[in-house]
Amino acid sequence: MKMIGAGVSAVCASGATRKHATLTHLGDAYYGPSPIPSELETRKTGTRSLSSPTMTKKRVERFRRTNGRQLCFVASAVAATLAACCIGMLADGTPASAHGVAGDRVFPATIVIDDPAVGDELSLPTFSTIHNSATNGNVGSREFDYGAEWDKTITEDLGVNFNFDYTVLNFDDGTNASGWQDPAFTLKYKLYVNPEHEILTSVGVIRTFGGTGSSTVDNPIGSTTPTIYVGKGLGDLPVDILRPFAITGEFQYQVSDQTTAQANQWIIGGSLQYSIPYLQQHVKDMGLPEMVSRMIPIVEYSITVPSNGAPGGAVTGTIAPGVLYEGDAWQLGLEALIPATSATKTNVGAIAQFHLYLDDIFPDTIGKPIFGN
Amino acid sequence: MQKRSLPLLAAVALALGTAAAFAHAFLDRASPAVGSTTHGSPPEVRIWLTQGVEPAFSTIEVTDASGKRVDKGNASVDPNDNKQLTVSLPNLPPGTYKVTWRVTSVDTHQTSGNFTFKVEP
Repeated sequence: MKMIGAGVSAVCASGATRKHATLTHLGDAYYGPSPIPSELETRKTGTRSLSSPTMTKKRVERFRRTNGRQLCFVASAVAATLAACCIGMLADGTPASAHGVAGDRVFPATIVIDDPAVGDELSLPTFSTIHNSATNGNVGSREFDYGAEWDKTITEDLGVNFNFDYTVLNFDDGTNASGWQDPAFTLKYKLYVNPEHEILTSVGVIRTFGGTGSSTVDNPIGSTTPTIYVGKGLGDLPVDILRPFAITGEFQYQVSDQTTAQANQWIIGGSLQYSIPYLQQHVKDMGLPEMVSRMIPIVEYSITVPSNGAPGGAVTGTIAPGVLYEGDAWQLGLEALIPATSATKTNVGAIAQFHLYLDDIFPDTIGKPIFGN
Repeated sequence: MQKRSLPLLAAVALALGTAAAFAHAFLDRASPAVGSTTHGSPPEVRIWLTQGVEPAFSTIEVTDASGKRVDKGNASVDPNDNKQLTVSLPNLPPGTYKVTWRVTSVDTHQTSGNFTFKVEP
């Protein structure tokens, strides 16, 4: 009998915006009846955990029933997001644009965390691989994740995201497990845009329904994650060479459907990026080859901190340096996945993503908002 | 998983190949070049965009360091190449000038940008 080791992180890749694969380790924050998820992954959609293959169907069903008790919280989170939408409409009338555009700044689709934009985009595929260390007597594993994310605008400023991931675990003892993880759904609203200072902010709520994936790898415990997304270009700095820099952030509080079994947690992600396209277009044409002029060197990170009440909870995280390449209507990204804390329990991995801007490719059909232009 | 994804990836690649002509219009290059210094006043500012733009909804203007507009107000899209936008300049004295452009691409996406160039004697 094999457990997907307590204290091991798993990567998953999916969309996104990137979004994708923030590795976190939550094993110690999980204090429910053993065996329960211990191998966890986080991405733009929040932290997710993989269930143990030893989990019984009865236990999975019990967790599914428990999900229903959380509907009130979900409704509250959605209502809060919609309220923020209304406030945003009243507070800021700045015309929005597809992509992550704020003035001269175009925020690219980050891979490990979500970017602050609301748009019509498709990440397909996002692929990642990493080795999860053996811990506490459990077998280590080489993990492969294949992900997809579809971002769809409802109005110009309000959108939904759908994330799907397929995971393959090749354990070090020669056995393996594979299957779909719980899909994740995000409701996201572009709250504020300041073109002059290249600021773009959004709010959203991410929902995963535990036990809806394959029983071999999914997490039977769902979660709801209110999220704030922020992007700031530094184009207003007086020093020209610094103007191509931009930072983005993602601040989340993940509320577990079963806090007695899986702790709530804070998830903080960010990126530091240097846009060579911005340098070429707005600061100084350096005469760089076109291939170089389309690159954005980037470092992303994501840190997960179990909230109070999680006995033995450990801070886990991932740092992901890499590069994004901007095509006319697509983006290709490649980043390393480096454990940020000793509790993360992974080796160095890698993640790659092909991303499509559907608003550019299909501007009159699936690439435009359902309502409005 | 990988085998099942191939038809979908092929469809996406086909769609991308046939529709990639539609995209946001961003700056490809400019004359005078972005951030450059010219010796003597250039006769015009010309920018090349990455996508075609709608002439009726596309503008370009040049202002001096005080924010005063200095171009001749005759911005136009090249009738033979809707990716080019130009505006004529009078004889400019030495100084730093800011070029601001705002365009609507043929698929109706709006984009804008700015850059500066210097004129020296």
